[in-house]
Amino acid sequence: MAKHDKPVDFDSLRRRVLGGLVGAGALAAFGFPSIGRAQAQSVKIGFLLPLTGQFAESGNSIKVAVEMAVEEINAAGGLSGLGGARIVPVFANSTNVDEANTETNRLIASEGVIAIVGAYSSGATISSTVIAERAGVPYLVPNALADEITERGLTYVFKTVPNFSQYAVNGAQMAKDLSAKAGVPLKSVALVRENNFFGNVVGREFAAHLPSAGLDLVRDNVFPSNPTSFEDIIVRLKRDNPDVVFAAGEPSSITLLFQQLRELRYWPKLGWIGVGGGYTNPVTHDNLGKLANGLIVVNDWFPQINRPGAAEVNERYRARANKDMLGNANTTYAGVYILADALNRAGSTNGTAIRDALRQTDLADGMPSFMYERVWFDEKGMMPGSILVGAQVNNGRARVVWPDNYKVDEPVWPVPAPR
Amino acid sequence: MELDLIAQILLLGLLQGGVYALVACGLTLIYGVMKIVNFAHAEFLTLGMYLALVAFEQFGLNPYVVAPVIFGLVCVLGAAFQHITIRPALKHPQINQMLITIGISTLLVGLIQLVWGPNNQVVRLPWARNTLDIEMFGGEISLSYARLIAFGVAIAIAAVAWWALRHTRMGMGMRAASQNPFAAQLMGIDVSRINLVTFGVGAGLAALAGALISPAFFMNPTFGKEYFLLTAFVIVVLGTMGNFAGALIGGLVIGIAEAIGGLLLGPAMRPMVSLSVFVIVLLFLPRGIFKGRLT
Amino acid sequence: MKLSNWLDWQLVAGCIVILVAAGIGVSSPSEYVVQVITLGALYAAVATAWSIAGGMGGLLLLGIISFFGVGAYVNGILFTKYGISPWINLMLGFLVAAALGRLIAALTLRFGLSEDYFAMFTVGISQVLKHLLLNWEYAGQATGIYITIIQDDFWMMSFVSRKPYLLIGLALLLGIVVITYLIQRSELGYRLAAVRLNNQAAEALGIDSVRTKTHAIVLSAGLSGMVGAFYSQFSTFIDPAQVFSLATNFEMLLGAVLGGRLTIIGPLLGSAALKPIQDVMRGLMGGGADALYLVFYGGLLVASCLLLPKGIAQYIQNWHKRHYAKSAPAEKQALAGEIK
Repeated sequence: MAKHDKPVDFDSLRRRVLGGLVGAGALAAFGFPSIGRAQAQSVKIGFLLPLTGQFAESGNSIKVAVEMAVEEINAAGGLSGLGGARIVPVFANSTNVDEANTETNRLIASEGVIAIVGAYSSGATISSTVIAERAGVPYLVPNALADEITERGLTYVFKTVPNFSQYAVNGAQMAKDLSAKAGVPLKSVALVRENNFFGNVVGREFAAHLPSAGLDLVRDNVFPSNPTSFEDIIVRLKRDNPDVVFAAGEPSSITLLFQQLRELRYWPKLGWIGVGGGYTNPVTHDNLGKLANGLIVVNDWFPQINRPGAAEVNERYRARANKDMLGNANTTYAGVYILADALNRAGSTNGTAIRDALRQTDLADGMPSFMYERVWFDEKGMMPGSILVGAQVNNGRARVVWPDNYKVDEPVWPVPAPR
Repeated sequence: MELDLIAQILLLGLLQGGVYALVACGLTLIYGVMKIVNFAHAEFLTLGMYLALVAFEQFGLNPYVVAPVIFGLVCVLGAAFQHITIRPALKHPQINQMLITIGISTLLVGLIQLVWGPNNQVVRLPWARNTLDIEMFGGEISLSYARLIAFGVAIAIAAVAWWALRHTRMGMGMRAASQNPFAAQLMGIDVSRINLVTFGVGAGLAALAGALISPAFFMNPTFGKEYFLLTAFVIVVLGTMGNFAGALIGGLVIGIAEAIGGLLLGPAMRPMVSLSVFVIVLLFLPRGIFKGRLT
Repeated sequence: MKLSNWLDWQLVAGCIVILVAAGIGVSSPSEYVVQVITLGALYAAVATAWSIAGGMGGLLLLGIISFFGVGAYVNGILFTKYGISPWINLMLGFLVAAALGRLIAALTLRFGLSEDYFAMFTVGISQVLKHLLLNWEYAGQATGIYITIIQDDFWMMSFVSRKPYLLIGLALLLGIVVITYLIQRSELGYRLAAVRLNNQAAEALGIDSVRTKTHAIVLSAGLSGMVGAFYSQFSTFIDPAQVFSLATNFEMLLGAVLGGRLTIIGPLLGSAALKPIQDVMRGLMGGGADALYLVFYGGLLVASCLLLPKGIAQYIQNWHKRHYAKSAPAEKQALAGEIK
């Protein structure tokens, strides 16, 4: 990096900028405080999101959350550790693995971003994190869940969402707690999951964890992506008659599934518990209206939760997006703040410095506390202690009912069939 | 397994088949007359769904009431697309024509997302979800009105098309053009006008199907492509490309085959059922069950 | 080799394009450029391989992605489960995909499927394969296969830098271009031209059209499989939705058609233009206007199909004809792969 006491050499500066080197832009902005005032100080952060295609809805919800976080941080004086530099978000598409890889390279080489946040799907994240690692650019993952992301010895990668196994462990625990409290017996469980990445891994985790929780898996129902009908699954469920159904899927398939549950008038004895982003999607809850009343969903956070600042954050988001802040919009919003905190402490746009600052993160207050008790990373770059909570959907809103310390409502359990 | 469950599955499969047949009608017409494999078919379907949504949300109109209007609008749009993009390419190799329809498909997905956004949306017409309940084999079988209507309209379209192709000037012209466009031209039939009408009606039928199934499903910009395109192709091939009765029968066969396959092999294998039917039919009945005749 | 011969000229021009691409890629400090060129080379390689059956053979082999995907899974499975070198898997990918091509040819040509039904059949097969892999536990189902590359190992085709992949990808492309050149000059090339132009006349002259078409399908399939095997190593992650994607399939064909599927250099130029245009367009419009990007891309696709029905290569061939008209004897011109 440039020496600050050296007189400004405009010729060499111009040469370096024109040379198109990655560091040049940052150098011009930060290396020379004496001329910095005359220039707009800014740092670019890359956001890899699926803005088209199957996950476009989620990608665009997350984008709104990112814009909100960035505007808030910039309005509050920018990044104090970088002389009040403004954050400029650069959005890039990660609809598939090729696109994510190409765009990661573009963000780093052409845009000169100092950090990347993304990339929603696990496949795209797994491959694009390797590219960022090689370039020495820190990469924050507030959405993709695959365990492999942080299990490969990458040192620039930080993940703020839980591993897959937690969905099974916490989901089963919640069902047992609710049943014990209501004094109803719980034994048999059926799975209804989509044959995609999330559905497969969650299915495996449930199959592995249910026996140790003392529950019987009576049938593992797998449906293909983009199903046009759920009649056979529902007919099988009617016959198996499980106490509880655990389910995972994408918003589209869930919409159709619940419409058909109504048509064929099936509802499990105790309740239907959906895990993951698809079931948490506020648009799905809104679209389903009364059809989803009583559905219990499991994810890392809900706006209607007993945590400081949660309601305010959600209100600000609703003002922009006209829907609740869910489906990874919340985690990515928090992620921008976590990254900003690390940038402030790093006091530099150097990748290694940011990486080291991220590693030393230990936040128990500030904006991210709307969803995290404490933000810190273990040696793998994984955030330990992130927990999942359960919320019950009523008239399109999901309100936390489990665990007790976060709940805002008493759960209804057993859940009557929605009408 | 209980008889009532089997009956329920078969009946639901039959109704689902009606939905499939409805979706495949326009595709089979365009192929039958123009010999063009229209990959943009699904987008006209999606467009029909969104138009139904607009009518319902903005003007409070029932999708079943505005469906004919949507049919008319998209007919005009389809004809315009045909005139601008397909007509100049009719003499080009088939692969070019296919790629043009793929281009139209990409364009329309983009336009739909631009106008209506990427979110899933639904037409909230609760009574369409209500069911007709029948006592049968000691159990109750439920069939939703939305699917019953789709089924009925599919049969009606097949019947009307069968009649129109025989008894109207345009229909007879279409049959002539489908058998030999060159000879038809020599006999004084305006083939380019026939093509215009065919593509328009084909696109309109797709949109009509979209409007009619909208209360039973949901929509997003890639809905048609991801949920119905391949199945529509399977049905069109099965029922002989270009044959309306064939599309109806093909749709019903696939609907029932998927229901049985899903029951026996597990729901995850459902797509394999229709695709296997597709491959087998192409191999052993390469001209479909109706041996290549238009009606 | 004479530049006045259209085939020779194309080979030389193709080599120059590939060398220039290699030069730009190797000298560029930007990984983005390397990534875009490598992907462009892969698409060009599949497009060129496809042109053997789809161009020279005049077959509507619409579902080329089947072979690409099979090749990708051959390397994905053998590399991660058995530690077999990707170099060997390139060959195995070729063989497995070629065998699949042979099977498809045997099934379809025996039953005499007509053009568009053949096209639909090949597309159908690609989706059958996709769903088989989605339900095949051993191959990772929908979770796909990761290839972890930690350190440089030439024998295991593992490189920390992207540049070796660029060179391997371009070498594959060069190899496929040379193969199509050799085919065009060989007896098979003439048989393919005869069958394409007039199947009945070719049969009457004693050409076994089924055998000729089978050869073309097997070659296109095998070479695409080889590219697929390399792709899995390059991309480090494969899943059924990605490697059997119909969108990717049509993008690959688009390069061949826009470039000129009856020539050697057409698919190469078409893909070389298209893939970077697509990536740059997305880069320019990214973020704010993704739906707009689809509108532009779809519009571009329609417009170029309409304006360039015979591909870019036609104009180059016309130029070539004019340029060498005086020096080249008439017979040589007749040898050139005619565009009609």
